[in-house]
Amino acid sequence: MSWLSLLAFFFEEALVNLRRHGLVTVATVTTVAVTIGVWVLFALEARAWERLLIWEGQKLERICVFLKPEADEKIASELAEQVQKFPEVVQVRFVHKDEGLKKLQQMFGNAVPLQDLVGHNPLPHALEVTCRSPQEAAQCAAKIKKLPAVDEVTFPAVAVKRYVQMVKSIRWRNHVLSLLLAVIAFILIFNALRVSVYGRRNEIRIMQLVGATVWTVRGPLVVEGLLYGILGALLVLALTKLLLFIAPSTSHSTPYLTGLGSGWIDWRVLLREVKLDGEFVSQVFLMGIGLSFLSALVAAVRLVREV
Amino acid sequence: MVLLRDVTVRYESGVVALQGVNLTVEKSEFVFLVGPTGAGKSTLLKLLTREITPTEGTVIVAGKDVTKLKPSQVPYLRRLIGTVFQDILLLPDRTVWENVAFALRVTGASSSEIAREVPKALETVGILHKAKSFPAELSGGEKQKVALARALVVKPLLLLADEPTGNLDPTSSLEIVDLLLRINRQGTTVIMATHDKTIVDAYRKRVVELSAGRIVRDELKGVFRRELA
Repeated sequence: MSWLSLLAFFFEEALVNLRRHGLVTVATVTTVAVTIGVWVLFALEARAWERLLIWEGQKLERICVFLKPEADEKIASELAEQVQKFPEVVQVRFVHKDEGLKKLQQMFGNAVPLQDLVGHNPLPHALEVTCRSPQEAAQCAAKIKKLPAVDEVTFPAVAVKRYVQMVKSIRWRNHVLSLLLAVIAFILIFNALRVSVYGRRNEIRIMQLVGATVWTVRGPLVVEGLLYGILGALLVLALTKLLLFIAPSTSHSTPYLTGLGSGWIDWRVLLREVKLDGEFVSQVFLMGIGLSFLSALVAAVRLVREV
Repeated sequence: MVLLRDVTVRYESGVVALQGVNLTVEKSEFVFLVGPTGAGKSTLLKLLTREITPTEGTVIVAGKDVTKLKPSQVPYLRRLIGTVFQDILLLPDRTVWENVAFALRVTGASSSEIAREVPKALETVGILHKAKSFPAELSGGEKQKVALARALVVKPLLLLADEPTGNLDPTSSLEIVDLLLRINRQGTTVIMATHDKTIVDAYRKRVVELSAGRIVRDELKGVFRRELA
């Protein structure tokens, strides 16, 4: 038995069927492309959010610890060592009260010399604590506040809460929508293959009578499903290429992709995430092939039984 | 080649298609299977290709107990059997050549094997000159010849023909039966179910008559009806 000829046979039969049921093919490929496209959008959006949140998160992870006025540099240094040992803490930086005043001076603008107004530096020494994540910053702040030399601890509690909620809701929304689209694509591929089996009933009967194994009968169906995935992926790549090509001219006139308001990222931000490189291309193909192969396999097993 | 022992086929509806059938067909034999519609001729042929299994009894084809085959082994049994039907199953969007090659392709034959065997089969049935034609361009007799070539191309040990002349004119019918006889002379066992009295009477081969699911006659040089003998 020549496996190569059998494989060639699978592809030829699959192509014959794609041509034979042109309308079904177009509908299925479009659905697969839409599914992959939305998955890609979600992946890009997740990546964009990740970047934005990492940038914001760098601030959210930071706790400012103000020491009591009587705490000197020695006490501050001991406290810094103690805090550094907390598992949530990545880095502790001692901020001398002179440095603090300099920063404050910068915030107010150098036009008015603060020290001249109050006559002395009224600020205490401080520690700048960087935690591993914004979520851990909250519990770390509570622990630090209990330490004896600490006067006040500040961190963006509300922002951290929002950050955690946002990450959760984005993940949920993307997972649910992706799953829904995958189910729709799965059903459409299954139905396209059902039409194909009906259209090929004579071929299938002949194949069974001349002694084709059940997997030889199923083979063209699986390949047909795979081709839906490959064509869908190609369509997505072509559209991405087109979008990247026309993006500069439309980005001014069309500021938002969805226009659905908050919670969605500006499409230009998403587009900045797209790099039509080997990784992107292979991921799109993997999505298409994975989805279509699974659907085709289930359809082939369900629709063609051993006789 | 074929052995049926106490075979009964009872469908789920309760209809008994075959009852206590015993039949032996030797290698290289030619057998006409006759009987009225519903007598069980097609059921008997379907038993041999394991399209159905008997409710009781044993069916042996080419030394294999068909009733005990696993579903995965059935295709390998079918590669030993060629089948031709009254409703000629040809693929309308493929040429004659492609229709015949189809049988080889699905069993994973190489291109060189296909290129060697297809013309031989077409030559055997005398339709090589129509290799590039599509089924719609052929007469009924020619279509049946293509179906026969497709059955032959896999070099079967047993050829089953279920009413192969049912839709053909008398001349084409005789051509098809002549072909079956030629194939039989080359060593292939042939079992042909038919309603065609002229053919059965003309060739005087072994005749097995079925009636209401039972074998009522088995004659070596028989005719269509016993009372006419």
